Amino acid sequence: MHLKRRGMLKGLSLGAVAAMAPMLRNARAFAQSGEIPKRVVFFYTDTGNLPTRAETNDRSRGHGEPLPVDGMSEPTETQFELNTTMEPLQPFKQDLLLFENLDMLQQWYDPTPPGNAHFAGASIALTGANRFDGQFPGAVSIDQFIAQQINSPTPVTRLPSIELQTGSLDRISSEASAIAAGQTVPVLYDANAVYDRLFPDPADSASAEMTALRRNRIFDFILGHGGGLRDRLAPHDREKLQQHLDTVSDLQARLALSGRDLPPPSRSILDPWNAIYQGYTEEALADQLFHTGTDTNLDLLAAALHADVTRVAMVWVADPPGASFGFSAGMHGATDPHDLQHKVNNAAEPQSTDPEAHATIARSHTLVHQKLASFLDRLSMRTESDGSRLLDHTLVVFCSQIANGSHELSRLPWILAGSSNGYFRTGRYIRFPRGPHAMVPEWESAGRSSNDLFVSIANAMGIDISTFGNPDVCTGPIAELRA
Amino acid sequence: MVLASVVITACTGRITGELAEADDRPGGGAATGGDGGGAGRSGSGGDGAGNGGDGAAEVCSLEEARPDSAPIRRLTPLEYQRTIHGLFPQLELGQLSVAPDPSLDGFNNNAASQTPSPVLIEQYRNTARSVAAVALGELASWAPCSEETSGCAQQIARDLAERAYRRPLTSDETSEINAFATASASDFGFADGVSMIIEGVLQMPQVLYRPEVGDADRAADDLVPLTGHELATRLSYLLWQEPPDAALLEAAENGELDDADGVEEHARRMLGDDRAKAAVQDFHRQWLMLENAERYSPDSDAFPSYTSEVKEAVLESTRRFIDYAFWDEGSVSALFTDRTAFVNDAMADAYGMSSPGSTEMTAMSFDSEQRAGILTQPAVLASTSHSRVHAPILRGVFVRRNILCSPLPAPPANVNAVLPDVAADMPRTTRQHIEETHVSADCTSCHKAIDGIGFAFENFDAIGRFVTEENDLPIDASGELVGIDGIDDTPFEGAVELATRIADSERLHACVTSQWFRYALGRSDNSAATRCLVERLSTSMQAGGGDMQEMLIELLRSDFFRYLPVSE
Repeated sequence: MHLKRRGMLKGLSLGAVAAMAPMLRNARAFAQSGEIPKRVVFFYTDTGNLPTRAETNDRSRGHGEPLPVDGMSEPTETQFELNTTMEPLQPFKQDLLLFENLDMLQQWYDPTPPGNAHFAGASIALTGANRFDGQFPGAVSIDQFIAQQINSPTPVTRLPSIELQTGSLDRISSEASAIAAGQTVPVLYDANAVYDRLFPDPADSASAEMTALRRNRIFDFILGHGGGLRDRLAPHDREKLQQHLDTVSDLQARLALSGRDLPPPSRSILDPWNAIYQGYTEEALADQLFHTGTDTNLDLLAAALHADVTRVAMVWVADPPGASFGFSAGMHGATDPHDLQHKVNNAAEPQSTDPEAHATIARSHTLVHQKLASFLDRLSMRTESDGSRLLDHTLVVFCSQIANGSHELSRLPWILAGSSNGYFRTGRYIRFPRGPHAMVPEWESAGRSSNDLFVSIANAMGIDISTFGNPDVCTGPIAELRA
Repeated sequence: MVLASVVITACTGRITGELAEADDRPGGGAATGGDGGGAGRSGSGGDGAGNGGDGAAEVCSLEEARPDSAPIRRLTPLEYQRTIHGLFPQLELGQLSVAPDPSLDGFNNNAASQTPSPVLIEQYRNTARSVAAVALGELASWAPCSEETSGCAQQIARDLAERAYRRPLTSDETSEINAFATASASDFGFADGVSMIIEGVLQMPQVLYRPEVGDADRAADDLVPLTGHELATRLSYLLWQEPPDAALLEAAENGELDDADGVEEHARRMLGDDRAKAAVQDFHRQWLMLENAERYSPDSDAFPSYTSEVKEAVLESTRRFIDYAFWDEGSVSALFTDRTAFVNDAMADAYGMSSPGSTEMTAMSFDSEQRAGILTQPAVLASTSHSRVHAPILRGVFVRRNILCSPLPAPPANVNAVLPDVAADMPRTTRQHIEETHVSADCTSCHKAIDGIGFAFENFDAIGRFVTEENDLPIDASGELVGIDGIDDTPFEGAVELATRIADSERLHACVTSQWFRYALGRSDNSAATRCLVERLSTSMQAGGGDMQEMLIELLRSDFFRYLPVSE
């Protein structure tokens, strides 16, 4: 007996129908109300910026810090010039918030020693909380927190977030982004994989309802049948499995969302990437890969944000290879860019007062800022339904694992770009005071906590929190940033 | 500077005090005479060799090595690939890769770092869908039936689920699967229904994870034995990195795996199969951080002889040595002191060794003065080097942490860890340069614990060639092993003497055992029960000549491996 396909709704449980309907309504409601969603992108870099000018060995006016305008002795909140490494950001000066004395105060509190000076920053940079062990973050990071919050109780976009990296094949997991203590997220490097995740093949030609029905039948089966297994396990294992099933359930809800009706970019966007990918181990091609890899992935991200595929992203932008900024092994007495970064930032080294060594490292930082600028450019060229720029609704957080080549975690050269639909008053240089702090040894003093910045960012994204991460290093949102 | 001296006191204090707790040395417990065997558990004969009258008075008791927990493990990306391919061996499915997990405490299969991220869940779904599409197109080649009836749909579903879950279905599972199969086929047509079945089953936690509940009927003394199928799964993913084969499943069905002897019989069968070699290589590759050697690329101006051909030979040489030390010689001591080397002409030429007269890797003997064992393998030496110069500190940390399980606390925050340049008019060896830097910056009190080991390798340059001079200065390869329990701390000369000093130590045997435990059990929490088990296994291993295969057998025979604690 051959089975014929019966009427599509026959056999469909009432519960399933009821569950589906609100998902579809959500997507339609957004489209109809015209409310433009807010997005946030964490542009996470390896090395921060140069704090010191070679000419004077003066840490207070680095290549990253704003300069006074002509005729004034100090930069002020609204009157300042962008420094050398930030030249590429000139067209977006009015969209930026720059900071003085932003610190990772968690560094002084954490009871667990870091495994090395890079883990020291990475394990707390985006969490502001006690690290899990010597290497891993010990709590949900701000990007994942925002993704979880805005997608609860029901998802708003097909992807809760996307995590990319532009460095190398070796980086398979984020170092700073975590969905929970000790649980970092995979990062995508291959532009093809990024494309496939952001713009999967559309549903087959069967009518949309049958596709959704079929899909949900499978999900319901997985959740029910898998749930049966969960119930038989020991409590700790039950939790782990529940986390898995919750993620499955979340995927089910997300797949019902259609997002904004914009065509995906043509696959030809991947051609430059695919053309150079094979030779990535060669020095010269490393330069091509840095540029093409970063540019392609940022193109895809901008398109995805515009189409409301996701509203949260973390892009891990690696330091450029030497070939990209005119450094070769042995220059300035350094074996590689990392070595030169250290030497230029180390007062005991001759490179720290060598203007040419500084200029070389400054070019590396300038390149990274150039990538930030080109990303802001892509966001500013895309328009929303009311004519405003995608950039006006996308908060870009330029952040980093460390502040400078000495692995310091204070005076972070972080930048906010985009007003988040007028939530922040941009085009300013916010100078926080530095002073004594209860938990900090006397020879160092404390600036404003990066945890506070995270509270402000979360608030801008519509999440009503007054503290984030370790409450001992968080005083609340930064009022000065508001419009 | 005030801060520096405060920190250094803290560091020194840690070496003598805290370190003893911080490291992996198993905690000793009072020895007891009896084992208190419970029903069905192995007695002292199989796994209590370190107990009672062997003179190992400080070994903890069997009772202290009771299983304490077994956090649920997920399939690693490799295990997942093999599992899916294993369900449809007749089909061309492609690579099927999913996002890898970060390494935790040295290994990439640690349960604690296996995150069910949104990306991974999507990848499981995408993979299931693509497999379903291929499988549907070639139904006849793998399905137990093909007539388009609900009965056949149910049969396909049950058969697939049972093979995928690696065990018989419970009665609830059977009903649910039958119902899903019937409804899918009836509402969507037979073909689409089968596709849905495949998609659904391949995404089940029963497949993706290795859930363990044990056999409640045979529970006793607050312990429940793993079922035969659960044990089959453990054995097979550990020793062959794939799901259980037909022989193992049959043994599970017949109750052969319900006692330690049955487990041992199958473990030996599997260890005797070539498939076990890959698992042993995988363990060593992670334990010895050989990925660093695979990625190592020295400055070509400084080391023109390190061509890609030589590099390939260097990597293969170490793989062969590992095989030789584990399978042929079969002892920890051999791994660290054997002078056999596998070289071909290209490698021999680059390293100043006698040429075997072949392009094939050939067993030769190292010069006894220069090299012995794994620590003097060029690949291991290269993996702890920078692009232009070797790195004694990396070597010291590697031996201390990976080989002797004696990690040190991290350096002080914000310490300048970059060596100053050597002045052009005052040439130095790397050792002299580091020593002088550490003395001037007050680092020696802590650093001697690292440098004392690292300097023993001074005769090996960045690519692992044996040299007697650096910058026209004679090399000093004297070393010391500071602050490691049970290891003689009198000074010695060179890497071979270092290897000899540690090769027969309890500390080394315990560390090797501990690393295998982490890899085999997927946990590194270092609980009291874990430490006790490691101590018992390593004592027994050492008493029996240090045979690593036998230690693994004893691990697999142990209650710790074959039982779960009864959960609340």
